[in-house]
Order: sequence, then C-alpha cells, then structure tokens
Amino acid sequence: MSTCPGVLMRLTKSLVLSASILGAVHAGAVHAADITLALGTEPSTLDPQTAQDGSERAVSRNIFETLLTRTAQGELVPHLATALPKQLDGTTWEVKLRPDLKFSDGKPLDAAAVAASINRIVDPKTASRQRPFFLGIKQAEAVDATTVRVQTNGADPALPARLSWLTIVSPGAAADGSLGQKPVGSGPYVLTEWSKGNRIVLSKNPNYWNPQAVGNVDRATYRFVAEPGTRLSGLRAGDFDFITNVLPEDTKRVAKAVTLKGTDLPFVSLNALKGLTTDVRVRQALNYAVDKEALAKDLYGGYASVARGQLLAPGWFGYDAAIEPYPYDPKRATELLKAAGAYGKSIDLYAPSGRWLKDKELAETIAAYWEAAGLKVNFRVLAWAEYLDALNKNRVPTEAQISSSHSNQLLDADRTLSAYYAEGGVAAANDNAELKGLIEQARQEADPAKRQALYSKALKIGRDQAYLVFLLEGGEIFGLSKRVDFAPRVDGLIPLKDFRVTD
Amino acid sequence: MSPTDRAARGLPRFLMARVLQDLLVVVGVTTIVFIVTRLVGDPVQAMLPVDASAQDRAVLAQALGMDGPIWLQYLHYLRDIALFDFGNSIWQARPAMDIVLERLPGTLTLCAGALGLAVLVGVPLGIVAALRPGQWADRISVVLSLSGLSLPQFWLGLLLILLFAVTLNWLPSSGADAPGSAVLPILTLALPALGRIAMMLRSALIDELNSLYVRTARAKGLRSSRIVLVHALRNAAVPTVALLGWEFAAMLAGHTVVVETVFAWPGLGQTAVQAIERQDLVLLQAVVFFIAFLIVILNFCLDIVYRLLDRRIAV
Repeated sequence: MSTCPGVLMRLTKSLVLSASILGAVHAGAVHAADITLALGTEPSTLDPQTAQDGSERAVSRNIFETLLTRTAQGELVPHLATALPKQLDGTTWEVKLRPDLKFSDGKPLDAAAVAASINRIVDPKTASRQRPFFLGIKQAEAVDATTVRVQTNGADPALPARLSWLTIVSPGAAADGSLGQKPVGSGPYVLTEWSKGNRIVLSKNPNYWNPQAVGNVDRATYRFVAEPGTRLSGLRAGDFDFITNVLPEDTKRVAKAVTLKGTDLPFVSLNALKGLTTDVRVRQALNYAVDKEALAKDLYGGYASVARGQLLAPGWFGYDAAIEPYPYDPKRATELLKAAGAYGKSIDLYAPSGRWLKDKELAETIAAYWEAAGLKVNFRVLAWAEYLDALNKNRVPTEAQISSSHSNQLLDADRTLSAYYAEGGVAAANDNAELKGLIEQARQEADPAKRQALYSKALKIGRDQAYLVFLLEGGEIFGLSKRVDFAPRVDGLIPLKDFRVTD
Repeated sequence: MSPTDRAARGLPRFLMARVLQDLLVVVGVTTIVFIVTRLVGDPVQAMLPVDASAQDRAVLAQALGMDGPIWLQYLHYLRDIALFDFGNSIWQARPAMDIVLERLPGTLTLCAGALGLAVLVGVPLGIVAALRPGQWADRISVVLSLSGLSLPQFWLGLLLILLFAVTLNWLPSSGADAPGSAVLPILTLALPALGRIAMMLRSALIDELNSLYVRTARAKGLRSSRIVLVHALRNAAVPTVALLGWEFAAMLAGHTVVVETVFAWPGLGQTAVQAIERQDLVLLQAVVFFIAFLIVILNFCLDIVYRLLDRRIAV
C-alpha cells in the first residue's frame, strides 16, 4: 500500500514538472522584451544595399543605419552625421560624421567607410536594385576621419533625401561578400540567428552608440508567412505581436490595427496623346466621375483618404496641401463628356491584378463610375508581368492605365514627378513642355523655398490638366497584439527601436 | 521455363526502355518549364523599380545571363542541367540546388507523415465500411471520406488553424519552429488522401468479398477475420498500393504547394511559390526539375516492385 501514494506522487510531480516546462516555454514566448513579427516574405539577403524589397528593409534597417534619417512625420534630421549636409558648390556636398562610431564587429565607422558605402551602391557592378534612387550621386571621398565629400552629377537638391536612404555598411564585410548572410552594421540590433525558411532573430546591440533611443525590445524574431489568413490567425493566437499587410476587412479582428495614409498612392495614368483623353475636358470628367470618399470608406475600410489632387503625400518634399482635389460631381462629368463629344464613346482602361491590395476591385469600381458618367469602358486586367511589360515598352499604352500603388521612399517630388508627370517619364503621356521645364528646373534648384514654389506650380498644372486621375492616399495596414505599441512612419520603415512592449 | 525466369530475363530490357522513357520525361518537363517561365514575363523588369532606366535593366539582364537570344539561353540551360548545375538562385544569390536540398526534408516529412496517417486511418475505415456496406459505420466513413475529398485544402488548413491554434490554442498556427508544428499541415495534407484510400479499399474489398474464392473459404469454415484480413485484403490491396504511389506523387507535386504556403512551412512547395513570386526562374526550374526527377524515380521503383510482386505483369 505504501508504494501506491509514492507512484501517485511521482506521477503528479512529473505532470507538474512537464506542465511547468510547457509553461516556461510559453512564458518565454511572451516575455516582455521579446517580440515576434510576421512578414509576408523572407528577405533574400540582409545586405541592405543590393535588394529593393520591403521584407529585407524590415529586418536590415535595424542592423544598418544612414547618415540622415527622418522623423516619423518625414522631417530630415542628422543621424550618423552631426548635421545636415552642407553644399560647398553646385555639385559638391560635405557631411560631418559623429566621432568614434563603430560597426558591430568593432571596426571604425569613419569617413572612409562611409565613402566606400556610397561608392559601392552607385557602382554598376554592385547591381544594386536601389540604384535608381542614387543616380544623382557621382562618387564620394573621405577628407579626414569624420568628413566625407559627395560629388553629384549636376545639381542635386534631393541629395539629403538620398542620403537618408543610403545605408552604411562595413567595408570589410562588403568586400569579402559575407554581408548578405552575416550583416555588419552600426545599428541598434545585430543578427543572432538566421534559420533559412524559418526565422531571423535579432537582438539588441550591446555597444550601440545611442542606447537611449532604443525601446524595450531585446529580441525580435521574424517569421515569414505568405498567407494573410494565417498571419491573422497567428496574431490572434498570440504567436505573433506584429503582422504586415492586414486586409481592411480583417482589421476588426485584430487587437490593434495601424496604418499610415500616404505610403501607397493609387492613381490612374491618362494618356493625353491618344484617343478620347487628348481632350482635357474628358480627363477632367474622368476625375469628377469618381467618388474618392466612397472608395476610401468602402473599399479600404477607412484606411485611406482622398488625395489632394497630386501624386504626393503629406511629409514629402514638394507636397502642396493648398491644391484642391476634384470633387465627386457625376453631373459635371457627364456635361464635360458631352461638351467634348465623348459621351457614349468607349475608352480603354488597363489595370494590374493581384499585385496590390484590392487592385482589381479598385479598377472595376472606377470602370463602373466612368460607365455611370456616360462612357463605355473596355476594361482589361493585366497580369503583373504583362503590366510591367506594357509600362516599360509603351509608356502609357492606352487611354487610361491604373497603377494601384505609388510609393517613393525618398519622399521627394523629383522621382515621382519625373516618372508620372514629365514628358518622357515611364508612365507619363503628355507633351506639356512647361510642366517638364518646371520639373527639370526644380531638380537643379538649391533653394528649398524656390524649389517648393516650382513644384507647387507643376502640381497645379498636373491637377488642372488632369494628366492623372487622382485617387487616394492609402497605406499598408499593420496588425499589433495587445502588448505591443508601434506608430507607423511616413517613410514606411518598421524600426524595432520604435516598438514598446507594454506588459 | 518458369514465369519467374521469364520475368528475370525480361527485366534488363524493360529497365533500359524505362530509363530512356524517363529521361525523355525529364527533358520534356524541363523544356516545358523553360518555355512557360519565359512566357510569363521578364524577370529583369519585375526585379527593378518601375522607373529604372533601360541601362539598369540591361546591366541586370547581363548579370543574370538573360541577355542573349532565347535559343542560346535554352542550349546553355540544357547543358547546365546535364552537368547537374542549376545555377544560382536569382532571389537568394546562392546555388539553387542547395536551396532545393535544404527544403527537401521539410516536404518529405509532411508527405511521409500524411501518407502514414492516411494509411493508418484510411485502411481501417475502408475495411469497416466494406464489411457492413450501407450500415452506420459505412455511412460515417463515406461522409468522412467525401468531406476529406471535397474540402479545398487551403480552406481546410485555415479552418484547422482557427480551431486548434486560435480557439483552443493547442498547436502553433504556422511555421516549423515549435513542437507540434507539423501536426496541422500533416492533417490537412492527409485528409483528402485518407478519403480516397478508404473509398478505394472499400470498393475493392466489397468486390473481393463477393467473389467465388471468398465464398469457398467461408464454406470451408475459415474464420471470417482470416478471410477478410489475409485473403480478401491482400487482393484488394493491389489497387490501393498503386493509389498510395499516386498520392505520394500528388502530394509532392501539388498539394504541398498549397499546404506549405498556408502553414508557412519551409518546404519545396513553398519554395516553388516564392520562386514564382520573386520571378526567380532559376530556382523555379531547379524545384520543378527535382520534383519531376523524384516522381520519375518513384514510378520507376514502383514499376519494379509491381513486377516482382505480381508476376502476371511481367508476362
């Protein structure tokens, strides 16, 4: 009889033990300073200078830093530099570095390392997918240990913006090709583990130069979950603290959903050189015909707002809040179509599908609005590759072409207006010499106030001539668990140092 | 001459013919992959920002070896495959075959687990159903099998996650990190196979149980369990074993694509989807080639096994 309680006791003990082990595993997962983030895709590399993709940035921008950075609202501020760059002459800029900066491998982050990073990204041999961001930069050289001179190809007032996007990498790791797998930067986090296909783990850099700017996340595990439904379930099950790309209709099912309007701008390119849309009245009618507020509310669940008659968003250089959007006025649209002799005629509309949030639905809704105003819409959905092909070969191949998303991480009007407003841009189709002139003049203008005035003028022309159908300021929606706080940034980055774990 | 001798003599010639056929299949599959992947679009365009210059695109095309005429690219491609060199993945910038081999165990774990589960549950279900056709046990197994067959796997997977991860919190919702991660993907992968196996075995067994030799055995007074489990089941097993080979191939070449994507399970199927999304032709070609290769080998082995098991096939 005496063995019986003993057995029971042992059994109970082992049960309690295994329960506490399970509990410990569980507690480990929700420890205050550890968080888990689910991204849609796995980064291809952690070399921050070669790839151009959001999931790589989500991870690597915690390991690497830039000379300048932006506040959450978009203002440029010095970071590794001590001040904003100083322009010495038309094509030369000087940047002063903080002294005694170090990479996580202990090597100095000095002017030579900065110059090497700049020269690496503009070197065609690096085949950086980010090169279009840095075409204005010719080369860089170290003057002394903390002074770097950057030469530009012609005047380049957007240089400070470019430098806010140019990551500084350890020259040693870059030279021996190990950067992509074993990243060495100066940032607040370092890579602890990369189990391919499973997870990337970052932990706090104990030697970080600016520890008071870092929140209370000690360890961050990134997981890669392509299926939105699975990401959502993982957040609700407590497996994740942060997920990317929440669908608007799913926002009610997460503890917290946050977005920043303006990181994704849907619009329609109109071809002013072809068909019905050569007539400015038709182009204006296409703007009046669309109920932007209804789109923002119904299609994007309120996680978007009406664009201010321009393809720029608040916080970008060049944005002009004084420009009025086209109101929703279907009657006016019909009148304009009739006056232009376009009423009842047919118009071609191309749209991509499956690439961006709600791209097909957006296109269908716009087609319906245009039909309601009195046009016949030949609506064609293009696969993404087909769409890119059309874009690259024919500029705007048809009368109207939807681009469901524009984002510009430089937050500077030049890149956007050169591509979508100015004659010769990838998705611009007009022959407005004045507009092109203004955009080119602004590219050379060093005085920010004068430059802004040029952009305001260009934006006004773009709005009044209706070279685009201006739609919405949208943005990616992030889902957060109850225990985590994060405020989205104008530049779309997701820095771990901005996270606060509240429990 | 005994049938065994004849089978043994025919085997080398049969093997030669099969190897040639299989080589043709592999070359055919790789050619189709080459053509299809080039039809869907230019990877160079997809990888650069929309406003990249023509010069940037040319530089990247050259770096990827996609600048020459298409027939030359094809010849290079065939030569490289013959040397078992699949090139570097565009997306991950490392040998594509390394990635494939890294992801292979994940997929094999799922397939083996699912096939095992499907057999363990599907076979008893099929037997029970065949023994009492039309009765409640049969009806239950038919309903189970049909629902396993007709639920789309991505939906079934999401439902299982909702129940076991979100509501009950018993299992991890996705990934391959935590213990128990494999349970839900294996279950999702197994259910349709389980349904097919149960249904196949049920109908084969019912046929056997109605045959003359079973009646003779019963008349001889053999125990019912012996008749079913030894005599009838062995004969009914032949089409079921063939089905198992097919199920394995179908999982490998199709179902894991869906299941691994839903569960964020790092396997070959997920790699194929990622390769398509990243326009990584090199990696996609390596994955498809490898799966085709595996299935060809699987079929080849199955053929030999059949010939050795059932000598009628050899004649």
